[in-house]
Amino acid sequence: MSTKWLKIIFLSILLITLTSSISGCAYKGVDKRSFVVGIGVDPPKDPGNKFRVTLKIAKPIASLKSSTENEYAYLVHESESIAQTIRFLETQDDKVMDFSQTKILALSEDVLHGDLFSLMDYFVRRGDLQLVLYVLVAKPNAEDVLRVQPPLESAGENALYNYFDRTGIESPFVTTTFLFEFRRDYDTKGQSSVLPIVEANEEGDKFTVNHSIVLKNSVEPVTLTPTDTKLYNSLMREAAGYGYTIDNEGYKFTLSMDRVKMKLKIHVKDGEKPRAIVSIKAVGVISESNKLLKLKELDYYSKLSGEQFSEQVKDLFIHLQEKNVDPFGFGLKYRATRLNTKDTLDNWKEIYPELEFDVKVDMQLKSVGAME
Amino acid sequence: MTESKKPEMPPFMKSISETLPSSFDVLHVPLTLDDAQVHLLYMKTVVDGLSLQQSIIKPFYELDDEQKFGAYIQSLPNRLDPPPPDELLIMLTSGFVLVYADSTYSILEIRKLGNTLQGPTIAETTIHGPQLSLSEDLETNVSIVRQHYHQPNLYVETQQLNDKSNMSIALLYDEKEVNVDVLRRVKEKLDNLDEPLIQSAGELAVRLTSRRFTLFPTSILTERPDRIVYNLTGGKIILLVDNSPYAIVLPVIFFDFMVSMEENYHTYLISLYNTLLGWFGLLNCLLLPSMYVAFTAYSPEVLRTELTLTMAGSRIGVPYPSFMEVIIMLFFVELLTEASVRLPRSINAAATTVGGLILGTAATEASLASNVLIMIIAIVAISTFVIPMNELGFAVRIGRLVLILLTTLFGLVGLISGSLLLIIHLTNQDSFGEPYLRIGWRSKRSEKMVNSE
Repeated sequence: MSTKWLKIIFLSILLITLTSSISGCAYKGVDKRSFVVGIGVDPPKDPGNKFRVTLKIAKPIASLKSSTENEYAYLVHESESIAQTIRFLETQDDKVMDFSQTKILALSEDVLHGDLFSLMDYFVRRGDLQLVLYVLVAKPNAEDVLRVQPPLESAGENALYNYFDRTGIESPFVTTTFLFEFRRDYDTKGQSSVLPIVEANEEGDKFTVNHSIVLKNSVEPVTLTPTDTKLYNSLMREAAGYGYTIDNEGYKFTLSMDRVKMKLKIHVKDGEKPRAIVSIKAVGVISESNKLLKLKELDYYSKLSGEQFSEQVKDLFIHLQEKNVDPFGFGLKYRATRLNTKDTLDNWKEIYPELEFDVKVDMQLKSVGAME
Repeated sequence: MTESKKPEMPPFMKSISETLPSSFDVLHVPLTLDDAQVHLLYMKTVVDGLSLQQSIIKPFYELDDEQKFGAYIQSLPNRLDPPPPDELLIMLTSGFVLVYADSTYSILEIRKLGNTLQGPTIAETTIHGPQLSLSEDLETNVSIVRQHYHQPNLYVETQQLNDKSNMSIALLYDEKEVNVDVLRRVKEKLDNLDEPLIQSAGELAVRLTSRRFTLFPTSILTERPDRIVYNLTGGKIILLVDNSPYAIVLPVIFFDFMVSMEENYHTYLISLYNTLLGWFGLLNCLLLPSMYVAFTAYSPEVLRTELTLTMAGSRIGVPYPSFMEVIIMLFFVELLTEASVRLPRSINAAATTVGGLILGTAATEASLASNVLIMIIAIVAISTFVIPMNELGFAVRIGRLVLILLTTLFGLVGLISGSLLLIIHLTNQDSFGEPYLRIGWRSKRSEKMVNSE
């Protein structure tokens, strides 16, 4: 009996001492952490260094009602590597830096040249940085983009998150690329990664997200125009929305797509030019037109739109082919559907510049968008 | 009536009367009319005086003959032959009258009934179910059960506890449904009870469990006749205790505690929704405080950014780490709950208002606790009352402290392993041989024995 009680008393004392000494290890109160919500990487101002890193740290919100706008602190430092820089920046903050809520990795356009693996390495390796953070390309530079405070951004909100996590705007102009996706596509042979470009205006109160950039380690980055970005997003990310302009046989439509689906097939036969057969199924409505439209002629309008749409897609493919990038993954498709030998990749490298695109669009317009 | 005038007591009665204490309520009443002489020995406070007057004293003077009166006494339905002196003494203290008539001793039960009034249900209230609970009298309670359950298979076995209270208890079961092993075990337990004093059903229920340090109760205490009948049809054993408005239901499994009688009185979807609410309340009550500790102190990455920042913001200026904060506030709420139980109904509301509203706001104003925590504590406090059975609520209130401790030490991993520990503990338990976490895969229909042929 007495030994049993002694055990219990001993155990409880042990537990109490353990709990009181808890401030040491992993136990770190949420108020003793500072949450990094964005990381920006810029080229250094001092040529001796390699990177200039900006950390955007969110201030805790004491009361959502009384605080009118978000308050952020920015820490900037440059050094030879990202890890070093962040270690240095940690000394400028009295709280533990917590990267678990970081969702934005802004890369300046100027750091995108050459091999990006050394840049990505730290972010992928670090345990508390999540691989589902959004990677974006910042213009004019990452620091400026992180410092933008849109007037519509309310307390407790992060405008940049809203662009990419689809809880806010769902626009076909916005490409969302996660860190894991970026790295995977960058590394995959026969595929190129696409990042959205976020532009900050000079006053620092507005973003524009409608361009994107195609990256592959061996080639120069290719910037896509808003129209191309939109096409890419519709075809690859199944984004839908307004703004597909058709100009054919005197008709000028603006289509609003509900669904767009793309299927790829690659035909390589001896003696013939290699061909990629792209079949696209698009469902949508006409949302604007320069002429009065008749519901009876909907099939005709569909045909007109389909022809024009396939031309637009083909132009984009050829443009990308000329730049030797492949965000649509033709190469990956080729590699995946052929017996894999040591020559597969080299074969593809020969095939791609000569590839002809055969785009078939099955356009299904559902309505002319207005009552007769 | 003075001692000298009193006719001589018969020897056996005299010996009994001498062993009884000289208390004011021990009465020896000799009745004499001409030659006829009858002696009564009883305790005034436990015997129904009116009934005694009606059934014994009055007939004696009307019959006017000792032999006839003796025959009359012999014919009474509540008459017994006198048992050995030890038992006789106990019987006298519980409302029996020792009668000496026509040279024979008889013992008659003319008990003053206890509180036969059925009060409204207090602990398990329902909107649609029966509104009256059990009374505080054993016989009345047995008759209540019988009136709810007209089955010849309903066996009622009575016995007396062999402690100081000598309380009568009744063992009720449906002979067709009952698990014989469990019945044997319960009877053994009852016979082997070694307690100096047992006063209520709750106490008996505790003494019936063999483990002393057990968190989860192995029997249900209920005041609802409909729950008793519901459980009888399910093959359970009901223990009724005299002077207690609660019945003990055994054996129980964990899921029995999550049944509210209200569920039987609603349509399927509504009762399903209610059941889910109950489970949600249970989980809330058990996990929410520890989750707060885990999320604020170990893994804020689980939450959304906005929530994390708000939580961080609401903890600004709170001097203690979050686990201290949680324990302090939980302690407050426990005090409040206890206070509202102890207080009379009329002041009750004031206590909860003062405690709940004012303390809560003041605690955040004084930044002793964060806003988020106050909300969590409020949710937890309300969730406690959603759990259908009170006893489980108590167990959960203690169980969550263990979870908080483990979470404080090991974070989310601690929370998970703590929950695992609880499940293991439950698995390890049994209620009179029934596995505690057994899942009763029986439909409500077959449980209620509808269409049993």
